[in-house]
Amino acid sequence: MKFLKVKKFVSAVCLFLVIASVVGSAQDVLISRSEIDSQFIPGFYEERENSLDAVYIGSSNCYTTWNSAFAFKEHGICVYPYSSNGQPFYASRYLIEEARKTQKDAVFVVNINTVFDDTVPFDHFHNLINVMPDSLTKLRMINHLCYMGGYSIEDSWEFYFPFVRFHSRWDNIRARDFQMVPSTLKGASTTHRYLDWSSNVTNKYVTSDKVGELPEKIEKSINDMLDYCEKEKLKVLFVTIPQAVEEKSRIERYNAVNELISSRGFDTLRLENKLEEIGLNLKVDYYNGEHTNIHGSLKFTDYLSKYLIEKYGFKDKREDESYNDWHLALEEYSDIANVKVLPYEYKLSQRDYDMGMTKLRSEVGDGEIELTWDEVEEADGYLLYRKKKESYIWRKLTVGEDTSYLDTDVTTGKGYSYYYALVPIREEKGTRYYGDAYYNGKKVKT
Amino acid sequence: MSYQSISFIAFSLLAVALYYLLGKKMQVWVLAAANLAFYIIAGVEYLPYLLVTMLATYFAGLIISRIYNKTDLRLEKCTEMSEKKELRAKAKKKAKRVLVIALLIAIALLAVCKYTAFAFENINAVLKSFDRETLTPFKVIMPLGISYYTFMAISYALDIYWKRYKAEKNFLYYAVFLSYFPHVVQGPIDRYNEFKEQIKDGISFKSENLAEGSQLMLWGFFKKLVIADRLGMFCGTIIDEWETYPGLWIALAVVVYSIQIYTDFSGCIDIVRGVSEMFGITLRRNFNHPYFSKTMGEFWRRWHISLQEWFKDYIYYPVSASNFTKKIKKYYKNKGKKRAEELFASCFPVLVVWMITGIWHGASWMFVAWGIFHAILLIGSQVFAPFFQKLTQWLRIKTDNFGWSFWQMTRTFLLCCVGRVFFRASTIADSFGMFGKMFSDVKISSLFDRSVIKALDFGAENMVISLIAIFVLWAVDMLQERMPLRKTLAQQNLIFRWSVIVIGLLAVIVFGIYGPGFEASSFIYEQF
Repeated sequence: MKFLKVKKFVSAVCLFLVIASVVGSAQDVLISRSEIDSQFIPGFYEERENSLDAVYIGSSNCYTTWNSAFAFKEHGICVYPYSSNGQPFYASRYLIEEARKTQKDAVFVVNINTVFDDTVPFDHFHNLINVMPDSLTKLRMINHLCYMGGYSIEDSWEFYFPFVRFHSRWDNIRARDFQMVPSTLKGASTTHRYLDWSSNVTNKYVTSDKVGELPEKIEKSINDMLDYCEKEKLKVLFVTIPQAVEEKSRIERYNAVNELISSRGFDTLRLENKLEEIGLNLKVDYYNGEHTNIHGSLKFTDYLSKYLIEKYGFKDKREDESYNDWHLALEEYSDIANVKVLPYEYKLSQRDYDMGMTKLRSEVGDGEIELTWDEVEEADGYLLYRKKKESYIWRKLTVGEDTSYLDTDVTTGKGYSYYYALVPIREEKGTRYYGDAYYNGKKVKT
Repeated sequence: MSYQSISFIAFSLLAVALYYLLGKKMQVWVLAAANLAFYIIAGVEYLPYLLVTMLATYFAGLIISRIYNKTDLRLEKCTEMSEKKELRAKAKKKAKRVLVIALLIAIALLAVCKYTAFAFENINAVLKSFDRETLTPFKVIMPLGISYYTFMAISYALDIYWKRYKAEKNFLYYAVFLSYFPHVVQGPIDRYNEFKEQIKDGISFKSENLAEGSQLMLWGFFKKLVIADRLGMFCGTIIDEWETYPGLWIALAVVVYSIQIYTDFSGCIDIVRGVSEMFGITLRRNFNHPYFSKTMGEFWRRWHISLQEWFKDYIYYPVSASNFTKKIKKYYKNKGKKRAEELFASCFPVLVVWMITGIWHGASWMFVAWGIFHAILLIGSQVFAPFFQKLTQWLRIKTDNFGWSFWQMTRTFLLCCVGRVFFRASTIADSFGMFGKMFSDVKISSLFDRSVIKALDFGAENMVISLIAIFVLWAVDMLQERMPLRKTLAQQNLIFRWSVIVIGLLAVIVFGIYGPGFEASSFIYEQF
């Protein structure tokens, strides 16, 4: 009799496990996890244990400003973005805890820019939890985010059981939904917006010295995070990146949060007013007010890398054979980046961000294209690049002092397109310094 | 807390776990706590209404029982027949007074909560027609499940009055019965003695209860989430904007609505019966594959069974045995009109039952019309039964074959569909408008009109899922007509049993209409 009871109990448990695994597998397919910017977090778990110098925690602000492939290329440091699109700031404490499971000794760089949002939008919530492996840490994080987001019990179920929201995707399933491919590029972004867009956000940039009010709930959440970091004696750096967002209330919230964090004795790095120092050009280095593009992130990554190396003494790992996977990732990423980035952009130590910019004008003739531009006061000359297709790498066409160029190596009348980009340059003590260009270049259709 | 929500499943599982873990003696307390929590979550403001009905009928039962007990004691000492008769008559009169008070309280509460707005609507319509100032209706709330628990309370009081069983002395048991969270919202309408018999000694844990109960719940969720709510998207779109759709689409929508309402209601009932079975408590069956019925009479013995049985026991039989009915029967008997006497005896109670059934379903003339429609059908079938029998004989129609049975089932189903028009339409004018269009705007080509199909926004994938799910429903109902399906499933091999369960669960999870992004579709019968 007792044996029968035990048998039934074991049978019930086995059935439950079968159901859980079938439903879990179905859920994994139904959740939309195959978007490009969902792959950073799964990629994090592919990293060797305790191999990272730092883990960068934050939303899309992280992987659009920080390019880990560039950081390794230029400085040999390994900093991986544990980030997802819209990642709530209030998740940071738990993400640090999660990341520490495999990267115990890493420094944690935490981006605070999403702290302006008093809510936890459901799509941002899902972007994070849908790609995280299940754990108690994740469960506690979900509890906390539901509380911070003011979700009722009924509305919270979709975060514990994502199939509640995503089950209706059954008619939209794609082949790639059956397998989540983690990023192999060490968290370097390849989104179309990041690579190709450039937007003038100068008019949206605002500053403020006012310290905003911090709602009690948010203050407590931040203090709990700081308590945890204090208790675990963690090295944590809180970064505020520069954005052009029009709303002064955001800046005032950042001021309040930074004040709180500093008062608790933690390090903050306030970059929102350091555009010039970083070299960020609001005309070309952003694809929208909140995110830099690949050109802006090159500058930002260089700046932050130098800061981190100086502060934390990260070693250069480019000669370390155990980091060959980073070299491979860099090689793979270079194939993508090199068709977007002008070759001079990698010469970060030779950039002059004070130089002005000039736009190209074109006129198509018979078998030739005439390009003209206005003089840039600070420039000694101009470097002109060209490519025949968007997917090609930029090639140097000419360098000189003139403000015009006649390109005769073209075929006109057949609808071909040519792309040109112009960079103002100056020479000083035998070294050439480069200004900013309109990176997407000018498309001339013949 | 909706029966189709994860919160309800979690709540039920927690209640079941505590129910068995805390032991038999605590089971009724666990149920009481669960019922109270469920009702408070629904709205603490509803509690007083439930308590008033509960206390009125509980104390009425006690008082009536006391009256009868005292009378029985006196009767023992009494020897004279006339004295005994007088004692019984006095006791009955006293008991009746108490009963009437209790019933008036319960019915008055129901009437005020449910029909105030309807009453004001009609009074104001009359006042308006005389150009008089209209009245401002006062706001009333609609307590959760009032239609259902009031009927259960009435049945308890009447059963005590009719001495079917003794009154419950332990208020806790009665409170648990009336507020029992699986049946309080939309039935089934249970009887106290059947309920008490199951819980009085406590219920031992049996894995079969959990297994079969959860299987029934799963089937209920399949019917509700995969079929009913999906079909609701289709027919709701058409019926709510019937003027813009061709007649054949309206007819199709009405047919689909008939399937929707069946799967919606029976799905919910299966969910709550499944939960109750996990507690080891079997609730009354409410559906017995009604669309396999061959006559309207049979249909109403298979649809919303607990309500029909309530009406049979507490309205039909009392009306049949009432002095008024007896007087009329006697009148016809004296006139030598036997057929009239028989017809009146069977049809008058039917008319009364269906008038009340209509108004019970909702405070609207639509439901009254629906009730009258079914009364006419049932009375008509009684009146014309001999005529139809002669007709089939004269036409030499064989009535003992599949073809005739199929015709009967189809005819019965279509007659139900006609009634559904009144049930679902917003107004009587709309219902007649829909009928008109169904018969006047009949173009077969309209069924293939791409613009109509596009406007529906239902999608080929939803169509396929619906057809497959309806086929599964039909197959399961057919099997259930022939065998106890869950018991049969329990006898199969492990892999087959588990496959059925896993596939069923997966179908509900993937194809169910629930969650953010779908409009919250509450159970159709919850509004009653």
